Amino acid sequence: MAASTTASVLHARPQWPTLIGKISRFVFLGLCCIVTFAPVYYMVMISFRTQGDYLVGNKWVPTGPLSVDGYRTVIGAGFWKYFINSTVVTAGTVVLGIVVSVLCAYRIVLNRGRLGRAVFRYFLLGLAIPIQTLMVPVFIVVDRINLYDTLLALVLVGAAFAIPISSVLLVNFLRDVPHELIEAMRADGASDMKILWYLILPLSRPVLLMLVIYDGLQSWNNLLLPLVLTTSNGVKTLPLELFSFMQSFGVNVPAALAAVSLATLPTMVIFILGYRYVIASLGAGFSSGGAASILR
Amino acid sequence: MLSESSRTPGSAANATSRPAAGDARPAARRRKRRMPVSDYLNMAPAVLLYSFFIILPALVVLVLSFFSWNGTDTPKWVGLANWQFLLADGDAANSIAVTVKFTVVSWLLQTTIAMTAGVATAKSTRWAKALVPLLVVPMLLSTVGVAVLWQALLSPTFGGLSDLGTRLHLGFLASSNWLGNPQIVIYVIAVVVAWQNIPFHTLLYRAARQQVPGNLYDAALVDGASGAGQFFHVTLPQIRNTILTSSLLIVVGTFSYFDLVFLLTGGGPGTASTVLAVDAYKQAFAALNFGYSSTLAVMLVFVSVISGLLLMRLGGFSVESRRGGE
Repeated sequence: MAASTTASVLHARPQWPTLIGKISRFVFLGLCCIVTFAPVYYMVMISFRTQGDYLVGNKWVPTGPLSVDGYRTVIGAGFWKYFINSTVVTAGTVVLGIVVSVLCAYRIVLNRGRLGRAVFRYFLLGLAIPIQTLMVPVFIVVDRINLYDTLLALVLVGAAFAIPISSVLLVNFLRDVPHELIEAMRADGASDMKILWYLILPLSRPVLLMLVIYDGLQSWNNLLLPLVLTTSNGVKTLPLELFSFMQSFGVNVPAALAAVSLATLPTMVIFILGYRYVIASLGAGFSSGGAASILR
Repeated sequence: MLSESSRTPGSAANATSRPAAGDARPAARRRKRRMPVSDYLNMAPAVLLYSFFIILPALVVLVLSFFSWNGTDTPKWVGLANWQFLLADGDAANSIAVTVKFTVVSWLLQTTIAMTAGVATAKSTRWAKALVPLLVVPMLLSTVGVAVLWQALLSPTFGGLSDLGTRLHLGFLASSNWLGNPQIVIYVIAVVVAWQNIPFHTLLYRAARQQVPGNLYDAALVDGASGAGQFFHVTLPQIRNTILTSSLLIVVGTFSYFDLVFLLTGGGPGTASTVLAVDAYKQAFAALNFGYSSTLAVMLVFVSVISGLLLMRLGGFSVESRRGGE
């Protein structure tokens, strides 16, 4: 902080000194704002219009009265059921994925021997495998263990795909915990699980929050797994529902966009709540994770 | 703030971990004797889940690439026939060309815009307040959501863009069939993917630029460096690791990209936007060539791993030394 104060004193002129620089920066960032926001505005605005109004009127400015017809259609199509399915899958995936990753990462850090290193490398391998290349065999495996068309299958496979990135980021983070602290607690007679609970978990709260949000988003928005691993309406998740809206596209655009808006609402709320942590840990987690974050 | 404070002790712990290993070792041995199974017990759930649902399927893909299988009959061993076919397959050559084009354009687009926006907003609270919350929205939308939205925007008849073009009298906006024109379709998809991905990379670059010590710029200023000079001689070298991380994510992610291509065009029109992952998907689920589909998938993984490793090598970045080069 002190350094930047001196910097601002020294900088009698701004960072981009010329007027041209200032103007081009303004234009560029302004354009960024517009291009980022315009589609989102379009989505929300159209979702509140009737289909007739959408088809004939100005697309960018509402011409008729606003309506919630689109939302009514979406909710009538069973939105809440799919919402609950998605919630169950996401919660299950996040909890299972992170709990097993924490346990494993903790052991990898404690165990500085060959085993820990081997497991760590084994997980790094998984970061290089794109999920979409594994759909056929994942389907076969899930089918063989009689979990086809169940929410449990989505949870198990989703958690498995969350494990490599979660473990690697956690290991990178936990390595920074001073070993003296662990030794001190151990000297006081604390068991390994006690150390995990009272020392490691509170310390790793930022990275845990980030993982909850990252893994949660991945699971909440995942289309491919439900597409390949489920078929019946009873276990349909929201992305799949959006997908069927999309396939019947042209029929009802306002309703399709209302469905997208509704499905995005929960992630929005959660993100706003955890926003500070995510932005802060982006730097910590991802830039030090480096190669770790191949998976996307 | 948070990231800075966690980085500093990080480097300290890293620096001391080697000499400290000496006195940590007796403790480790004592621990091992005390609880020999707990290590395995704690690691087991993660390792098992991961092995069963990722490594096992990955091995199946690898094995299947040497078989011919239509999904119902018994798989038939064909040796390297799939691989030979791949080399001669005009469609695969097309997919590779499309994928490379897609990857290069995506990298250029995302890196230049994200870096510029990230660096330009790093020191300005006013712009950050306006831009950062906006950036978050595309990150939160699901890929299907992005596809639904952009299909509504790009549709040639009732699309938002053509409507805008008509109203502003911009002929190219009004009349372009964005997703139906084989000449441009892959670039249009690259723009949509960029719209979804740039925010994340902007935040990465922004965080990186904020961690560059201010006194480096003072020194550059004293040496008479202009704004551009500061950018090229201070900012770029200082954020090198972030450039690498971000490029790695983009290149590897785009090379195996599937979602938006599949959703927006399904690889069409014709094969104009058939990237490798879509090709592999079609080979499996439309043509029922599970063996050949696996061959494509294996190649996909190989190429993305190799390009990833190459990028890391080029940048002198290694997995073990997490903060190498700084």
